[in-house]
Amino acid sequence: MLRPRKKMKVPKLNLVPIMDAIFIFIFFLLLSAQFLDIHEIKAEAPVVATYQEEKHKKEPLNLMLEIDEKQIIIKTGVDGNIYKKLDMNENLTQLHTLLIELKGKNISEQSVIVKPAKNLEFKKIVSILDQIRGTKQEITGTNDKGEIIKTNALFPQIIFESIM
Amino acid sequence: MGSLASNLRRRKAKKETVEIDITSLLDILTILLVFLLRSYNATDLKLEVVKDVNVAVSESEDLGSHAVILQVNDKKELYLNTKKVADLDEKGMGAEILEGLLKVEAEKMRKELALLDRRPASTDPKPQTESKDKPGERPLNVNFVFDEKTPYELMAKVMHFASKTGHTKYKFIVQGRGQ
Repeated sequence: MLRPRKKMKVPKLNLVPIMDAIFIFIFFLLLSAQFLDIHEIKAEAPVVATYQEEKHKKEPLNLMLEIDEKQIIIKTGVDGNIYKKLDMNENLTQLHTLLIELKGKNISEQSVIVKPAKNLEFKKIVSILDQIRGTKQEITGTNDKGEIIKTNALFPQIIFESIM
Repeated sequence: MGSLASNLRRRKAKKETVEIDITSLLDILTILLVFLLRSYNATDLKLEVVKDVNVAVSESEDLGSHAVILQVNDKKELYLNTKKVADLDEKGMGAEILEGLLKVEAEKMRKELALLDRRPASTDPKPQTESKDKPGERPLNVNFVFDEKTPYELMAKVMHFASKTGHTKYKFIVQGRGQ
C-alpha cells in the first residue's frame, strides 16, 4: 500500500534584516536627495585671472569671444585680430568646430576671454560656455616641448573681460 | 467537557502565526531605492533655490561646492543665500549693498580657512594645496544662481561687487540636462 507523500516544506528566507537595512538606506537617501540636478560652471573675475608666465616659442593664442545678440566675433592674438565672425542664428556647433580646430593648433592653451553684450541673457551665455569648455571627441596636438597631448577639454578657464 | 474542548481549540489557534506576504512591498522598496540612488548627488553644496528662479540648463557635469550663494530671480530680487537683500533694476543698480554683506561673509570664510591651515596635515583630509596665497589674500568662491533671462549687465554688476570683497572665483549654478 502506498503511503501518502509528505508535503515538502519550502524553507522561507528571513527577509527581516535586509528589510531593516533597506529602510535605513532609503531614509538616508530621502534626507540627502536633491531633486534638482545641480552642476556648476567655473569662471574667473578679470582682475585675478592669473597668467602663467612661460617662455613661449610661439605667440600666445589670447582667444577672445565677443558675443552680442546677432553674432559671435572670435579674436586671437595679442592685437586681437578677428579670426572669424559667426551668426548667432546659426547652429552653435560651428563655433564648437572652430574651437576644436583652434585647440588642436594650441593644445596647451586653457583660457578664453568672454565679452558678452550688456543685454545678452544668461541662458545664451550658458549655451555658449557649454561649447567653449569641452568636447566629446578627443583632440590631439603637440605642445611647445614637442610632446603629443590628447585631451577632451577645450578652453575650461573662462575669464570675463569686463564686469563693469 | 464542552469548556475543555473550547480551551484546547483556543490554545491551537494561539500557536498559528499570521504570515504577511511582503513581496510586493519589497518590490516597491527596490524601485524606490534605485530611483533615489540615481538622483543622489555627492556634492557638499546645499542649495535652496528661491522663488521665481528658472535655473539655466547646461551640459556641465561639474559638481557644485559649498560657498556663499547669490541668487537673482526673474523679478530682479537679489538674495544672499536665501535672504532677500535688495531689489535691482535692469542695470543692476542696488547691488552695492553686497559689498558690506559679503565683507562679513569673507571674513568668516577666511577665519575658517586660517583654522584649516593651522590643522596638522595628518588630520586634514584635503590639504589646502590649491592656493599658495595667505588666507587673507586667497580668492574666495561664490555661487551664482541667476534666472535664465537675467541680462549680462545685471549679472556683471553683481559679479563686480562680489569680486570687490575677494569673491573672485565664480561658479554659475546650472541645471543638468538629465539622462
